[in-house]
Amino acid sequence: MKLMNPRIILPSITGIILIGAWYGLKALFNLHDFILPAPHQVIQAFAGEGTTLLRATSVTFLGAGTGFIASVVIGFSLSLALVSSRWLRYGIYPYILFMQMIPIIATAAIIVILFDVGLQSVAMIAFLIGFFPIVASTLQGLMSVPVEQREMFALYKATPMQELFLLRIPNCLPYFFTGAKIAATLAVIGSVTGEIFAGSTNGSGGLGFMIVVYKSELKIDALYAATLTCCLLGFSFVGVILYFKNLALGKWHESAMPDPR
Amino acid sequence: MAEGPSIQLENVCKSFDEGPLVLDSISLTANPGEIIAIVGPSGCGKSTLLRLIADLLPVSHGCIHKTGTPADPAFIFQDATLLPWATVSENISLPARLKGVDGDSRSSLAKEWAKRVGLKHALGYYPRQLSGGMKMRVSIARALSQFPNLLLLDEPFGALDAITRNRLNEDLLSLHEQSGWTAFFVTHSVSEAVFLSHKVIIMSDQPGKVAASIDNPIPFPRNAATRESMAFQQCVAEATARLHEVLSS
Repeated sequence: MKLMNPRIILPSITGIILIGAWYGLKALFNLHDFILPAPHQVIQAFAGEGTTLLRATSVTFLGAGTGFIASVVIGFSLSLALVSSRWLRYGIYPYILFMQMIPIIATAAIIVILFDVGLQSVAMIAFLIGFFPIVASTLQGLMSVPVEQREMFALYKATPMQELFLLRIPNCLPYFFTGAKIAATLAVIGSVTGEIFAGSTNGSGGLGFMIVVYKSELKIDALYAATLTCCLLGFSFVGVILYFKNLALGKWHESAMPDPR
Repeated sequence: MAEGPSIQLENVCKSFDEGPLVLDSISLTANPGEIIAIVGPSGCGKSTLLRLIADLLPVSHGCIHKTGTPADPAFIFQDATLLPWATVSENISLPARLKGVDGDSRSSLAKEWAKRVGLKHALGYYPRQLSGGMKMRVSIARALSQFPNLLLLDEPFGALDAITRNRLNEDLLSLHEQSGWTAFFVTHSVSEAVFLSHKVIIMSDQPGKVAASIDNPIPFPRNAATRESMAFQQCVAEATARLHEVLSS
């Protein structure tokens, strides 16, 4: 094993430079703690608000996780339905594209009006934001099977079910995981956005709710800590997806191969 | 040993939708067990012709008579068209799987065919771990594993280096000796066409027509030494001259 692994050394250097720049900016413009807290103050806030943040994270995790799983299950099923019927595709797909254009903040506002504050709204928003990338990429993967492979299946008189399960679904997996990765990132963002609108869920707020609370209490260091926690939660979601992607594609797909250089 | 069907094309025309004619009045005959090589400029409809014979596309006019043994076609594409998520073994036995053959019989079938094409050691490999020539061997094994009696080959060795290509040509002929399928072989290489075929069809383009049909006098069995023979060189020279006539007209 190499002692100076560039995959570890280089990001560490970047991190040190960034933290240095943070302190530098704060000193240079003489910024007050409630405008820009110092990095060590953010870390102290992590410790001080530890229990609150942990509880808030679990609430956000529940909302994002429920929404994400729903977006995977429903998105994948809808893609299968769309690929098997041209009429369905022509009829529905334009609306899927259209709804994708609605800004998530507007969606969140509407959902909260419709479904009231609480986990159901937060999960719904996380679901909606992740649903479109999954449908778009899965459908593309199901549709973009090389013509010659379809001809080969036709020549051997494969049934539509065989074509779906032995050709189209395996072919769509790399696309599906690309969509799922985007959806995993968005699920946390959607969930936090939802919580900012939907406020407290079951009497205990998620990270989005805590961001609102910390802002109004001028606990800016805790606000930074909560924001960082959102990032970490997002990373862990993506990490889980990458694990499954590697499990499914590791043996055969180029995207799961190590770096060429 | 499966006897190949006899294939007779009678004034076959093909156009796509309202588009121009791609193939115009193609008439040709393949007797049982004959290999017909088709050469011609790019875009002259050679691949379309193979798809018509395989029933992958409908003819627009004319007809294709298949007589003798009922035709059981297999197609070998330009690209190996292996499923990247399946191992060599799974790829070879895919046609069997589509026919509902059980797992044990499939794996013994794959083993037998991998052995015949010299890939016994690679049964568990994925396509990305194979060279171009190995992929093409898998594709050949897959096509032949169901004992077809009609083989359609669409420039299968175009992307391979000369040595691998010659080796695969020889392998293909020895497999033909054992089974006697009827075959249509599309290629850009005149010497490959002459080496493999009983008859060389030269096509012209826009629309695709049969410009010349050359009976190949070189006796079977053929092997690497055949390429050195005077008769072979002469036949290649003649076919090349005819092809140039077509290309320049």
